[in-house]
Amino acid sequence: MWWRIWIQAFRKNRLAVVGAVIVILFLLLAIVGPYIAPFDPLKPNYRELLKPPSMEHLMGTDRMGRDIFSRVLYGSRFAFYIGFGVVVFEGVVGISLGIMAGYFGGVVDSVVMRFVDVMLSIPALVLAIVIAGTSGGGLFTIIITMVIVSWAHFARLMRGQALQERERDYIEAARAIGASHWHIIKRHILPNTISIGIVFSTLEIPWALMFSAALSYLGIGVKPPTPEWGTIIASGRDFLDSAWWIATFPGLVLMLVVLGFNFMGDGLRDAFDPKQYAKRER
Amino acid sequence: MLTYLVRRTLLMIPILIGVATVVFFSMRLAPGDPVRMIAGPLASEQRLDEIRQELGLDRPILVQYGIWFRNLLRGELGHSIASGVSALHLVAVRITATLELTVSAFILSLFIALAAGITAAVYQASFYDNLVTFGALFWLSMPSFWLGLMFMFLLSVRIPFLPISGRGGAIWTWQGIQHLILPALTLGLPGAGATARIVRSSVLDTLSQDYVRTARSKGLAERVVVLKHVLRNSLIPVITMTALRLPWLFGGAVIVETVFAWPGMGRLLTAAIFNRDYPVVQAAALIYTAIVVLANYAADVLYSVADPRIRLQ
Repeated sequence: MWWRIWIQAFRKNRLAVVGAVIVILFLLLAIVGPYIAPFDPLKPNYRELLKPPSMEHLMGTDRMGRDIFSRVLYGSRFAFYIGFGVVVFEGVVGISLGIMAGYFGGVVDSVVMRFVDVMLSIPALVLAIVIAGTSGGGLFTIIITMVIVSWAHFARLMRGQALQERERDYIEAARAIGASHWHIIKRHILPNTISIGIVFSTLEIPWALMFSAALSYLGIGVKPPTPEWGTIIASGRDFLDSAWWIATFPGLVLMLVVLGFNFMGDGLRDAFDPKQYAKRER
Repeated sequence: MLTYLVRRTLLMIPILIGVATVVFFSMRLAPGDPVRMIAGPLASEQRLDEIRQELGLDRPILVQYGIWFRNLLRGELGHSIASGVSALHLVAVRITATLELTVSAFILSLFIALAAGITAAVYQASFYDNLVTFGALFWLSMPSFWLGLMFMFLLSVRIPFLPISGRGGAIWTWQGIQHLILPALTLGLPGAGATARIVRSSVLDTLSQDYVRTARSKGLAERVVVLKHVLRNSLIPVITMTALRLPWLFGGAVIVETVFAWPGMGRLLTAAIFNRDYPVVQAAALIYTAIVVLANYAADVLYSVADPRIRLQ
């Protein structure tokens, strides 16, 4: 089958396989995490304040006696919502604007690309702080904010792809037999550019996870006591000398998940990149 | 060359206006009332209206935008709602601290990336190459705020080796350097991972060029080949990518400044957000963008230095 070559290329890359395993574990955690968590992530327990890691509390407890491990498990679901929510919305906005700009060219292209230029000149985090900070945080706001600050990269990438595809002879042929713009975009441009978009998306997920955790750490994203990884890490900030485990473990989990997505995305990119095959054959 | 520079300078203006507009509307359209923050929770409705009138917040948003835009063109970014001091002044006094942090992190990450990337490419497919590939992804996946906390925990709390936070003074003093090390590492290392990958692949591309084979066959030492013929030719994509990453550098600095209580623009910005201090937020966002745009401009000029074939037009 034609896709076998992708799978083969992917499997040769050991880091990519490790990454895929981490990602699958993360997805499983996001689904079953809240059911297997040993403690309530929100209920304080004043007899178990700031307990170091033990068999009962694998990652210790925080200043209200809540079990860090349970909070991290619940947090995986928030991370999942944010990671995939951002990428789906960003993909829809980025792909449609990018393909429109690349395919139609002219005025549409100029307008979209000038807007992209503006968005790319603002440090994303600064803009995100402004938007999320003034609108008061929360899961949905954070997702929307992150889409606003990140769609421009996606749009620029897809525009480049669409621009190349548009020049192909078969597009001209399709136009010659009277296919509508919508038909050409749907049937020819989109299927031929989407694989690049998908690879880009897998590399956007780790970014979204880190970025949202950073916003929560700053106190602008998801608000405490919600068990989100960034807020848990922030709550351990003042206890570095007395209870290091509060900030350490959630951060370690976040880093591992991000690493997994990056390993996997890298492998995917190589597997989808035809230039790589050429190199290998040489 | 000169016409290019003039045109690029003029092109900055619409970008800055665009940014100012995006920031203006995202702040005004967001829920949350700055007037209530100033007046306190016990203020009467009447008092709130008075303050609103004073600040011009009672007019339609488009009128507010017009007034604000006119002031912007005159270089007036308004006064801080919280302290009454000129917003631009508040931001300006903090630029040095932010630049000190970002520039040192940038230089640090560039050196690490060049050293690691070049050696990885020269010893392609060796154990060392794999180590760099893995290391680059590892640092790239590091959430900087957590990395900062871990550095703090290990090197300031556990082993009291470096100061925990704050700025120790000017960069040329011992105190200043000591305070700068951890924030600069926190900001620089993740960026070094990203750049090292680009350096590696760019050097690999250059190594397979014909002129490199020529240089080798005329008996040049490998060191001369790599440093003279390969390095310079592989710098162009590196410059492009580092220029593209500049907004990330400054964004990352906001987080690092908060983690290490570094008195730069980033901390001012986060504090102003919590106080709903619109003028300060706008001034900070504008200055951030201006710095990034200027730096990109510098990168464009650098291209023509690295590659004389590129003529700026």
